[in-house]
Amino acid sequence: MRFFRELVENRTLLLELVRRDVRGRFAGARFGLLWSLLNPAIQLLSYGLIFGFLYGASDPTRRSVLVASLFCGLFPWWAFQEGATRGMTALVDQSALLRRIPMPPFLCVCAATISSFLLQMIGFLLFLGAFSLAGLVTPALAWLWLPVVMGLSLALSLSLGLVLAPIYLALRDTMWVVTALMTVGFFASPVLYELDFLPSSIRFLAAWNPMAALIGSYRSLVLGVDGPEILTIVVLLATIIGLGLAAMSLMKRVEGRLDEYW
Amino acid sequence: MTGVAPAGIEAVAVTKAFPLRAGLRSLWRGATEDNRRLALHDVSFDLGPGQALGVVGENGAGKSTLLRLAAGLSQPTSGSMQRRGMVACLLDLSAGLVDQWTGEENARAALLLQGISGDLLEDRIAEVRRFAELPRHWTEPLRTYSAGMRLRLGYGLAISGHPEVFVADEILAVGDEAFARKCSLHVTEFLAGGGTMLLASHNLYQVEKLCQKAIWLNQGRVEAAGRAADVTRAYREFVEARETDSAAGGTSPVMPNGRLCLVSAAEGGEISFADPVAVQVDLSGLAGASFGIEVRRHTGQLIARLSIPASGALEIAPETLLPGSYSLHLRDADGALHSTSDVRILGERRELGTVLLNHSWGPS
Repeated sequence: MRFFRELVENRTLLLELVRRDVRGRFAGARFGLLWSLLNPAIQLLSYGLIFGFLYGASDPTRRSVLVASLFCGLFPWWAFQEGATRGMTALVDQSALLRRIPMPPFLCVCAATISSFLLQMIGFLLFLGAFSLAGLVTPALAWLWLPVVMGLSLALSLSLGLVLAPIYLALRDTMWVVTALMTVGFFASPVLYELDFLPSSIRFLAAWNPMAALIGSYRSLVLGVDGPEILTIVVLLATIIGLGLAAMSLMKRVEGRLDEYW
Repeated sequence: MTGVAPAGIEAVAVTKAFPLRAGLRSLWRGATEDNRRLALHDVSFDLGPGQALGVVGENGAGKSTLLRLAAGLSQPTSGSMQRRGMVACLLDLSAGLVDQWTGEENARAALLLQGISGDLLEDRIAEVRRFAELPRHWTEPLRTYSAGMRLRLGYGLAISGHPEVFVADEILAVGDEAFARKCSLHVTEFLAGGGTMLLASHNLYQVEKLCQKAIWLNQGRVEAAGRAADVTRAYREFVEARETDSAAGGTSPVMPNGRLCLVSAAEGGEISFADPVAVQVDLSGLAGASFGIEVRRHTGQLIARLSIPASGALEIAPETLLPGSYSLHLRDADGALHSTSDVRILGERRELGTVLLNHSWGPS
């Protein structure tokens, strides 16, 4: 609980770290945020074209649903993956800062995850607006629940980042393992497909994937389809709490010892 | 912190171990016996208000580690490092500053990271600006700054909060004359005002000038501690002895017999540039026929080796060695060192180098 207290006590510092991270990412670039939207747009377009036209549905309505569904899968996944990965490397990336300014190191991890997550979510909201204007999705009252789902996404990303950060600090091989597992996770989660497409014999496995719960929630809210099962939500919450506890214990081990690993 | 206890730093048996091989096991067990390098071993000191402690030692001796611990950026593996009062540190010039941002933006960001906000922030930025004296570059990106300009900014940032304890690593090493004077003045005032300072430096002169006390770290251990002048002298002798040894191609302890005695020197081996360097050489008790006196720069660089056939008086002509520090070494034919003497040539000359060559100048 000390971590929550420190988080609240150092909120100005955290805010500044996030601001710094966001600014640092676009430092020297003239079009900043615009670039961060380019890549998602290209990916969305590519997947849309491949699945919509090459594999796909001839019916234009189905096509637009498909793009909206991909959108609800891809953005949450990117936010999760980038948030967790950048959180993982934050203790090493920010060594210049941690070497000079005394602060609780976990704040750097939080800042890296939060800034990545925020940028992705800004992208998500901008695209959501654009899709609404284009008539691909219909705005609904249920969208007011989106912040809650985003909060849970951030919590998952953050708790995983905080667990991985000390491990990566001590063992840089972690990067390779995590990169590989993220690819597995990408395809094991219903990003490019929906759970209904899976054969019922293996569909039950998805209940244990916390990302399935999150992506399912986004789809349910944005597209107005059925939400994920209660069990998957429980699994999601349990994962966040479990990772959070593990993160606290791991973070305690590296506090005041970061310089031993740089 | 507590308002009653005076500001300062107290280190008690501070030890810091680094795991040699990183790995998950070290997360749980720390640096174990078979997997560690002791960066610091059993270092203790107590530093109160108005005191400055100099830390000297070679690269890798543990100076930076000690300073990092003193600044609270890391924890000792065992022992304790107690800090009382507000601590500021200047350990690394590039750290925490962003190249693409201007001096002002960097100052603002760095101060925000120190937890300063609101009205106080603007005051502090103005203060940093005043101290740094970078009128033209203040609103230019940091990447256009020279090392000295970064130092100005970094120093300003470190001291703008009027800390009670100041931990500084190798400061002033890159600053220009004017700024170095300004820093010296600031440090003197800071100490006079009851500040506490921990300073690591390779500039022994600076340590002697600013610090009353010093410690000499050698491979993580305290080799000497005490009055700054004593510690720096011991360290200087150690370095010079080793440099001469390696220059002579091996370790050669000073032999008990044979003596060099500077005749013309004042206390501390000081001789004016206009005077000859007169040395009394006593070879009594030394076997062998061939001896030499090496004249070396204080860095160990050999300038000349003069043959000495017997005991007697050697005189190096006036206006030969340019002002600076030199040492004379009496060696036998095998290179064994028998006696040394330090010489400091005083005076002001425009020539550079070590020796004033006998030369003439005129129309061709």
